[in-house]
Formats: sequence, C-alpha cells, structure tokens
Amino acid sequence: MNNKFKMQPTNGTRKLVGAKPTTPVKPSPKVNTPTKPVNATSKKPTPNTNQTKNNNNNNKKPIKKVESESESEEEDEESEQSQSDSESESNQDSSMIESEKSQLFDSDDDDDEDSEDEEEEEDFNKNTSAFSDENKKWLKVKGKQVDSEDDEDEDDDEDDEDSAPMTNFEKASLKTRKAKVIEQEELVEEIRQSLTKPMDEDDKFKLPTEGELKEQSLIGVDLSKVYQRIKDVVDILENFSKERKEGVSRSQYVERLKEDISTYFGYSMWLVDLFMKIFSVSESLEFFEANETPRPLTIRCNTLKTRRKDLAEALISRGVNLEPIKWSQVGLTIFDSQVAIGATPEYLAGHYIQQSPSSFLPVIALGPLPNERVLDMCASPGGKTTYIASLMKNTGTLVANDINKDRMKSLVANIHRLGVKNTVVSNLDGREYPSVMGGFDRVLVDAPCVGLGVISKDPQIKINKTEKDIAICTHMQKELLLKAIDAVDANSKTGGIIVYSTCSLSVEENEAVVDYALKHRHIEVIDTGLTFGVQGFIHYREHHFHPSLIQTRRYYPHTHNMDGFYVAKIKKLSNSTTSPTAITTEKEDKKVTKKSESKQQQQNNSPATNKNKKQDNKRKLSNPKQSKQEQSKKKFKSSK
Amino acid sequence: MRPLTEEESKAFFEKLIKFIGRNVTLLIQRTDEPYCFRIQKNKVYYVSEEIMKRSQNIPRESLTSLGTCFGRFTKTGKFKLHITALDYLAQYAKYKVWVKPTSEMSWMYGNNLLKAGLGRITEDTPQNTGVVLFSMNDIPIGFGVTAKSTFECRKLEPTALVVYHYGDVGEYLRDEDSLF
Repeated sequence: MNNKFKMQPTNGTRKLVGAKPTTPVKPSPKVNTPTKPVNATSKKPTPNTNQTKNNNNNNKKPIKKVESESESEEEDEESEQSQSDSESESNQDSSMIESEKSQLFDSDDDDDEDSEDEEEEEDFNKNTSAFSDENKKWLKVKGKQVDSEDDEDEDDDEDDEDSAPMTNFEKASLKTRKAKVIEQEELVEEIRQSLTKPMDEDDKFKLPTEGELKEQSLIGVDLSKVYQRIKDVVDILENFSKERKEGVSRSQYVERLKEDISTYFGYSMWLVDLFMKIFSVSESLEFFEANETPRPLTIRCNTLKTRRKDLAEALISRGVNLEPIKWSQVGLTIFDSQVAIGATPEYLAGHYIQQSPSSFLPVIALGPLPNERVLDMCASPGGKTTYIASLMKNTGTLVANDINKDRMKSLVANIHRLGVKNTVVSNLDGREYPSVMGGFDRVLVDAPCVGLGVISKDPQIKINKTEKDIAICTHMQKELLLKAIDAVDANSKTGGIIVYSTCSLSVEENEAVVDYALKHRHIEVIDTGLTFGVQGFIHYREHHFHPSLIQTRRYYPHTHNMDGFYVAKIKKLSNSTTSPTAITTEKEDKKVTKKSESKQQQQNNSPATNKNKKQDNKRKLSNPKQSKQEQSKKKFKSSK
Repeated sequence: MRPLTEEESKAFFEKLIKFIGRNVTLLIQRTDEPYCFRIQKNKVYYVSEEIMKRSQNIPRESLTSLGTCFGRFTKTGKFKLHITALDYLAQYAKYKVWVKPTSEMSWMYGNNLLKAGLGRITEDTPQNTGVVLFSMNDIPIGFGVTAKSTFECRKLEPTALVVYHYGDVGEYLRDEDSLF
C-alpha cells in the first residue's frame, strides 16, 4: 500500500493543529495588588481570558473544563429545586424551606471560606512572597459561580411571589444578604486603609543576598519565586524613585533582573542584554513572555486560483474555524481544525499556503505590478515568491533565487502547486546576482538572519546564537543588500524599488545594514506603505543613523502578535555604483556646523559634477579589501 | 537547457495527445505570447519565450526550474507526465471524470478510482484513454487512464475499477523528494 501521506511540512513551519502545547505551563503569577479579591467577590472571575486570545486553542481546555464542571453543578441544583417544586402544594413550603436553608448554610460557609482566603492572600501580599496555587483559584471560581447563581434564583423566586406576604425564610435571606453587603463594604474599607498606609521599609521587596543565591544554586531554583522576583523588580524599576530601597542602585536591580530572566526563560545572558537594550524594562518582560506562546496559525489565499471568500467557505465546510486577517486582503487565521490544514484537497489543489502574517509585509511593501521584472533573492520556501507572483497576476518575469540546495525542493513544489507560471528558479549565491542578471524593476531581499524574531518557533535560538553569529550575518546582509541595489534599474518607469527585510530584531542586522547601504549607494529610504508597525531606530545606544530610517518598520511578537520582523523600503536614485555620501562627507568636513538633515539635499545634487572626487573616495572606502583580494589572487596564480 | 530533439518530441507529444488530444496545438500556437518547450536536466518545461531567454543567463547547473514542469524523461527514453502539468491538462482536457466527495481522499492517496466513487464522466469516453479527474466542485485533483468506456461503466458493479491512477495532487506531499 502506498497510501501514506507524508505530513512533513513543505515549508518547514507546518504544525499539527491541536497538538499539545510543548511549552511548560507557567505557574500563574499571583498578582500582588490587594484589590483583586474584592473584584473577585463582585464579578464572576474569568481566569486566563487574556491568554486565550494569544494561544488559540491550547489554553482553552482547562477553562472549558471549569465551565462545564460548574455548569453541571448548577444543573444539579436546579434539578433538585425543580424536584422540590413538583412536590405537592402542602409540602411545598416546608420542602422549600429545607432546600433553601441548606443553600443558605452553604452560602454562609462559602462566605466564611472566602473571607479566610482573602485574609490569607493579604498575608501573602504583605510578605510579597511567591504564591501560585492554580487549583485554589479554580476552586474559588466554582464556589463563587454557584453563589451568584443562588442569588439569582432567590431573586427569581421573589419576583414570582411579588404579591405574597414575606415568609420567615425570606426575611432571613434578606438579613443575610444585607449582612453580606456590609461585610463586603468593611472589607473594601480595610483594604483601602492598608493601601493608603505607608509601607514599612521592611515590607519592601529586598534583593536576595549573595548567600541566599548560593544556597539557591545548591538546592535548585524555585522558578515561581524567580518569576515573582522578576515581577517585583520590574515594578520597582518602573517607578524607581518611589519604590527603590535605600542604598540599592538601579544597576544592581537591573543586573538581578537580567539574571533572573536568563534563568526563568532560559536565554543566554548576552541575548537578555541585547533585548533589554531594545525594549524598556516592562516591554522586554512582555516580549520574553510572548516568545513562550506560539503565534496563531495563518494561511494565505492564492488569488491565482481562488478567492478568499470561496476558500473560507470551503474550509469552514470541512470543519475549520477561521477568521480573515483584517489588514490583509488574502490572509486567514486558523483557530482550530478537525482536519490537517496541510493536507486538505484545497491545499493540494494550491488554493492556499501556510504562511505567517509577518511575511506578507515585505511583499506588500514591495508592491510588484504586472509585467515587471522582479527578483526574490532569498526565496525559500516560496511563501513570499508566490505572493509576489499572484500580485503580478502571473505576468512579467519573476526570478526566485536561494542559496540552499535542500530548500529548493519546497520552493519549486510550492511554486508549481500554487500554479505560478512566470518564475525562473535559480540555485545561486544571492551575491552573484547583478553579474548573472540585472536590470530588475524590484528586488526583495529577505536576508538570512539570526532569527531573533522567531524564538517562539525555534527556542534553540535562545542559547545557540552568539555575538559572532550576528557579526557573520550582518556582513552577509550588507553584501546582499548592496548587490540587490546594484541589480535594480534606477531608470525603471514603474519600479526601482528594493525591499530589505529580516525576521530578526537586533539593530545591527536591520537599521545598521540599511544605514550602511545609504552610505555606499545612491539611494533613499522611502515610506513602506504599511499602515502599522513600530518606527525604526534613528538613535540606538552610541549609534546615530540616517533620519530617514524612521520610515522603516519594526514588528514585535508582544505588540502585533506576529513574528518579530523588520521591513525597509528603498528607492534607487541613480545607476552609479558610487556612494553619494562620499560627497556628503567631504562637504560635511567643510561645513561641520550643518545638521545631518542636509544629507538628503546633497543626495539630490547631481552626482555627475563630483564624479572624480567620488571615485577617489570610493577607492579609499572600498579598495583596501579589493586590493588585498587582488594581491591574494596574484599570489595564488604565481604559486600555480 | 535546450529544445527537444525529434525523438523526444515524438515521445512527449504522443503522451500529451493522450490527455488533451488536438488541443496540443493551442499550447504551441498561443495568441497572447509565444511559448515553448525546453529540456533541462531531463525535465520538460513549458515556458514563455521571454522568460526562457532571460533564464539563459543563469548557469545550467544552478537553473532549477522555469515556467511549468510537464514531466521528465526516464533513462530508457520514455516520458512520464508529472502532476505539475495538471493546470494545463485540466484546461485543455478532452475527457473528464468527476469524483464523488467520498472517494476524493482515496484518489489523493494514490489509489485507483472505483465505480462507487464515479460522480460523472464525459459522454462517449473510450476505453484506455487519458482523463483528467475533478472533484465535484470542479477542482482538478489528478489524471488517469480509463479502464472501461462510458457505455460499459453504466453496468459495472460498485467495486469495479473505472480509472487507473496515473498522477494525483497528493504527490505534492508524498513525492516531494523525487518530484522536484
């Protein structure tokens, strides 16, 4: 029998829907704001509602369980009541009293328990120690829900018997309810007082001493405690002048925080350091937490073969739960599915491809038009390539290139499956490109990167990558981008556009690379045309980049719920491979006082006038390497 | 990359004619843009002449694919149609078979089509001829060779073979390694 479907992903990212979450369940942080218990008594508590949005179906299970349990209990009680109602009239009063009495007692008991719980929690808050007992939370949920249900039932009863005089039992219930309200008010008052009271120095959060840390390392670290400490330190750092403990410097807190994040989330210290430089303290914590949860599964509808509406209907009829992505014409988010999303007849017929929404962005920015010549320099596994082809409506010429031979198969397979007919696929180093083929209208460089934006997909990145990897990648990216710029025809009537994108977040791989290109080629950064996203950095630590880099876009897992991404759109201004900055630097030497904004004006100056100077400068800039290479070549030849 | 030789053309077009008949001429003489067939590493590609000219710049050993792959020549000189040609085959197919939804998956797992899964079939389809298979909502899902003519199909038992399997879209997943 050869009827085996290989479920192996063609584009490397396919996952089985409904697979159990691989990330360990985090100990739910017990919030240390003392107002929470009050809320819990007044509202129906809804645990994990925030998380459900992020991790589509993984976290739903426990919630459903809770709901179903509580519902079944409610049903039981209701059925009891209905039974008692159905008894004969004469017995009704006594039976009602009995049943409701028991309920009253129950609710009293519950109340007592609740108040005890609250007291306990307050104690915990005072100690500000880690406290995470998920079961307790759930148990409370059940109790509360039943309570409120009881109240409603009583209300209903009253409504029914409006005209009838009050029975003893009803009076009693009224009393208890009033007592309850008073009790609650007292509680609120108490909590308010405790809030307004100035905290004692001793109650404030303390950094652990060296000895404590050593002890911990011997015993083994309690992760929930570490998490609590991370939270506390972040709170302190957010409001440092008020919350700090006397004599402890900011750097001490930050150092502690970095080490704790490194142990809790399992990052190398270097990476923690890098992200803390990019994000603020609280934002970086959000970022680290977002990396623990998977991003939603998304597909892109292939407009060459079908329409999104039709595809959605076909998939829904197969039992797929989906929703269109609002900012895109072709994206669909899959929540859950009864069938494997990578093996439906629609998938095999090429009606859609599994693709993360972040990789829509560079193609939208590129904006290819029909009958153009487009190059995709780093194409595998073909998600972006096929999207470009569908925007070009299968006309013109699309060249898809990738250096990795193993990834060619998925690229060619996707191109054929999606019915793309205008494509040439080459297996070359992208840096060979302008010499192999040039004069393109648009070029997309989705450069190979360290992948700091896709840690949720590949947790190995947390420890595997080092500073050296970034250095190697950056070098390659700069070369690729320059070659891509050279491969574009600046005189193209419709295009002359280069889009540079990475799925990494480090400034070295993104802004610094584009800034480097700005210095070495006659180009300008233009608006990406993307409606959302964070602006690129102009100042980062000691670096100052070209002001136009603010038009580039960054995407983060915690703010946009997609993979971390960077997109820059570049317009080529002239075909000369010399750098306009060679002129600008000379001019700037003369007019030191002029602001950096003058760069753009100088770029507009005709480069022809300063040709000689430029060339000299170019030699100065680029020659050391070339001359070395030539020398080594000569040596090599002579040795032959 | 080179044009097909006389022998190769003969083997190739004979196979193609089995499925799309005289419509082969529509593939060669297109009104919109000149198209051509080219051989690269034993595989036959159908591609517009403009793209073909551009791809001549790329070194032969690194040229992986251009346009649409129709199939490949075996070592013994026979031609094997690939599922990647399905788009064109479906467009010009002479004889068509529609598969019931219940048998769709079975076909896509590489099985032959039984009478039970036969939804519709083109009138007067002869025996032993190439057909393109569609799902009931007109999505092409593969091609095969008829075991019985339309007339004979009417009287068959549900378990009898109707179409021999030749290629199906499931190969995109199953045979990705050997196909590309």
